[in-house]
Amino acid sequence: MLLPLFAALVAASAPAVPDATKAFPFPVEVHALPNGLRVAFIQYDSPGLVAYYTLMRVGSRNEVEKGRSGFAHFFEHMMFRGTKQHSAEDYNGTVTRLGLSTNAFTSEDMTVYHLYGPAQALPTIIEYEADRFRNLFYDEPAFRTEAGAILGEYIKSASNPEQKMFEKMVETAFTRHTYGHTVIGYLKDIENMPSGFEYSREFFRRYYTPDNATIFVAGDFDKAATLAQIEKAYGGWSGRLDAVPVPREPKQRQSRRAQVDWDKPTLPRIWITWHTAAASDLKSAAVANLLNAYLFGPTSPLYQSLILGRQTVDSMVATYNDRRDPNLFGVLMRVKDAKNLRTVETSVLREIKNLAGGRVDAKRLEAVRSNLRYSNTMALDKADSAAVTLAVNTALTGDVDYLNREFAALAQVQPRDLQEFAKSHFMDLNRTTVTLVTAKGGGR
Amino acid sequence: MRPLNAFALALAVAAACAQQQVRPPAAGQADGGTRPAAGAVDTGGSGDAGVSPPGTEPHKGALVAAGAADAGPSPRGGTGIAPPPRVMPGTLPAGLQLLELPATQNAIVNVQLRFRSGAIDDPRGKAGLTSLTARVMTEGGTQALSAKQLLEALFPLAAELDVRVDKEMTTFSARVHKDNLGKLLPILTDVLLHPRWDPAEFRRLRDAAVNDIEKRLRQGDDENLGKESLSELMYRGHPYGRLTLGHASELKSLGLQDLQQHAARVFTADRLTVGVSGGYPPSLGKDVAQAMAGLPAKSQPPAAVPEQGPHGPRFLLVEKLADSTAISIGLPYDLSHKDADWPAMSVARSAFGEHRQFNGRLMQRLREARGLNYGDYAYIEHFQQDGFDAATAQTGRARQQQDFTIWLRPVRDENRLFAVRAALYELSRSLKEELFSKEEVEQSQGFLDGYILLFDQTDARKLGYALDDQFGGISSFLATWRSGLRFVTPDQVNSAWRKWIDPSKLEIVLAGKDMASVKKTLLSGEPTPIRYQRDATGKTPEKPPAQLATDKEIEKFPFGAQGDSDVQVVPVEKMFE
Repeated sequence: MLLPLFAALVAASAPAVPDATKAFPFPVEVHALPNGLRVAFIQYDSPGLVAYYTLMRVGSRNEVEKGRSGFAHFFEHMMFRGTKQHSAEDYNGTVTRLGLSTNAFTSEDMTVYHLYGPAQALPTIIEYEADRFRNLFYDEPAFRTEAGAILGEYIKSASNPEQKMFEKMVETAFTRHTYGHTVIGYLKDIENMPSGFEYSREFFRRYYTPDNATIFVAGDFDKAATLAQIEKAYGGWSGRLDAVPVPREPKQRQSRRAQVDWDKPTLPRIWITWHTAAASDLKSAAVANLLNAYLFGPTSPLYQSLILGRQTVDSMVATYNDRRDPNLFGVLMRVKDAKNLRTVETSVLREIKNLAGGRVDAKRLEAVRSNLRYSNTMALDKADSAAVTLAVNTALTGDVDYLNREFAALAQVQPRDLQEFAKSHFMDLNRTTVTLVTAKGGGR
Repeated sequence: MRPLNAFALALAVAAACAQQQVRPPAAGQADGGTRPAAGAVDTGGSGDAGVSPPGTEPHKGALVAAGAADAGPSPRGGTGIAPPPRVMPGTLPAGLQLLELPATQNAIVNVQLRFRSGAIDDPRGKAGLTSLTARVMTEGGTQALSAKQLLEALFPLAAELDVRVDKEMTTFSARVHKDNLGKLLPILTDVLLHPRWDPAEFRRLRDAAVNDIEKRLRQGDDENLGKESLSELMYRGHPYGRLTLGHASELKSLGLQDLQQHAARVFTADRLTVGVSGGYPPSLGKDVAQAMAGLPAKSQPPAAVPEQGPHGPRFLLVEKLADSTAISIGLPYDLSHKDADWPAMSVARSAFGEHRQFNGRLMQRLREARGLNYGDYAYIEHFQQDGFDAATAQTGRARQQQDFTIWLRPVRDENRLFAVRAALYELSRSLKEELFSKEEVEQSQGFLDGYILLFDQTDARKLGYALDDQFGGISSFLATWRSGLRFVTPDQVNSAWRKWIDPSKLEIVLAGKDMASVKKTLLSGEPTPIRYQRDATGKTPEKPPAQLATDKEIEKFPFGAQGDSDVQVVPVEKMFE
């Protein structure tokens, strides 16, 4: 487990000793403001540097209205457009002068804003961040111009066949839930973004509220002083979360299949998925994470036979990750020759069947568990990594302690749990398969 | 939980960012700067080297103590960067060198084996030989362990064993929790001394490299296609002139024996520096060095790297089916970390086009004011982003010959020539009518003063910088740079910029469709007005009159093509063939 430093070496600030028995070993202190805003302080020994993350629990899953796919992400861009007090130029100039690395990202479940840099910048960070979350202001021309950048973001990856395949997979597997569209959104919706000015204000009112936000501060800072500053700067932030209900995905009752015809030469792909549970089901999430590697990782029989042995598959990637709502478990493979697509599919289904039939390799299960533990430890390598890890895991259920609880569940997983998971999820009627092949005339 | 691998959100064409590409929640490694959205599937082809599997880059660690034995921990934020490491030549066999950063109390240990061998060692007709050799050694098993067993041995440890090949250097790197160091070391040693040279693994990895060129680079990753095409254009006739990953037909002609012979020729003790950092035991460096003494002792010296002059053509147009156009612009020169102009140039570069930040003129004027694309940046040395962090350039890519480049992320075809003109216009103005102002210089100084602190946050990155410094014959580059830039004046910034950047020497690549018509326009010089994006009702955004007036100047700004031979059109199938 990670011990970032001997306490003795940093006696001056004497941070509490990390608890190596926990997946997130650094001490975390959570405060709640009367307006619902939560603030999590992470003690991470990182002299002179501080990471400041704001988690908004809003993402593409909240894009319920038709024609608005990609809006949460678009909104993330608008958050850099300034306020009446601090224009976009002022914001940019200030974070630049302070030497901060500044950015944001959006996923299905969250939008996260972050700054990382010299600790002495923290008071200014708090002032500017509080201002934009409370008082964001932009006009329609700025809004329309930003839509161009989104289009640019879409087209920069448009030559990658998997962007299209991803769209096809989620829209086939989900019929009602908003996981049925990608975070970047459909091209036609992006092209129409410039006309969404009024909607953007409504979006801000609904979701950018203090009770939907958590701030994470990690690194070198004084807790009492920082809390006082945050209370002062954010105390007047008002509003209540007014979320539009996200439709539930009905149970899938028949296997589904779709194909993407690509117009350029590329390797064929096959992506097989099954619906699974939400991250709030800790046991299910722990098993799914284990099965990612158990079934499709580099030591799995599938990987070893298809990639190393027969060499019919060029790459194999497990595609489950934890999500707020029930998500897909599965594998995406790049196949060297389209004539092998069917055989590769059969190999995956046979492996799944073996697992459901009770063939579990307990030794390999232990190896996967060990890998997940060490990978987690090795990833928490700087204050910024600690903050982002806690933020994205908090986004799943709202629980700041989620990562620790998930690893605790992971420790309890038994071989029979893998079998149970397979039996209850990996049925044909719960499966979606998407293939991608180069259309006739597209290859050379 | 942390997803299994960097793919994380391949499921994330998803996480798109205000200024930056996809960042998967808590994911590990992926080539944020250049990797296509579904990065990990292109395992073979991150960046140009194509030998950095996702999830295996060295990029962790934490605080390093100071170099001198009596010094305490270096408070990095305040006073900056650690003092130089101990380099211990002389006592070691076969001309091999050892570079030890002071050991820390961190849980992670890093070992990097840096050879002065790279793509410049590829023989004529065998482009990609060094890259493929290194990859087969790293992934293809050892005499003791088959490829399968190698994976099984590393996996429970979450140990990272990786190789990065660049033009002049190859770095085998291992990153492991100290609990597991004892298990990893014999494997690392065997990778170098006793690779398996398994014919099946050779075939697999050669196929992967060929597919990476034919399917990813040519067809599925236009941003890197533009960059790599520019690199080959700038370095025509130079030892850097061929893609590090290789050329498809030449890779296909390689045999296993070529690799074995090549390894004996280039991965030799006299070209090696052993580097260690992190929470390692005292004897680690010497132990590894001792083991590496088993390498072939001597080799031919690496190929000479001559200065590359401008040679034309001005434009290389890569014809391919695409929905938008990738644009890269650059010129070779020999600015180095040692140069007195480095701090001034870094300030100018930051003010002109800081990578993945908003402050640069290019970003402000092309993206922010005009919505032309997703991002617009400038670089004063070869740059590849390390992972998802915009602040981290990959180490292990130090070079004697350097280049200045501008990267415009893909632009819709209707605006592609306006975008090229806008970049040339802004560069020209930065050299004449609109030199960098005092405010811009001060802002960039402030920025870099803090930002540089983020460059070597981990023990692995500190080691990477130390090895790069050793290659460049300097010490403490980051610290020297940071202290140097504080005293730079606007005059120095502008005069350095004018001294090094000559827009008439720029070479320009566009990759996209319908290049015959692009060529026609480039040669005729006809105006190419910007088309602002319309919404569903046909409205375009209102723009300030001053900007519209500037648009009028940009749309007719000279391309600088001097005639038919100055604009070459090449079908994408011919690139890297």
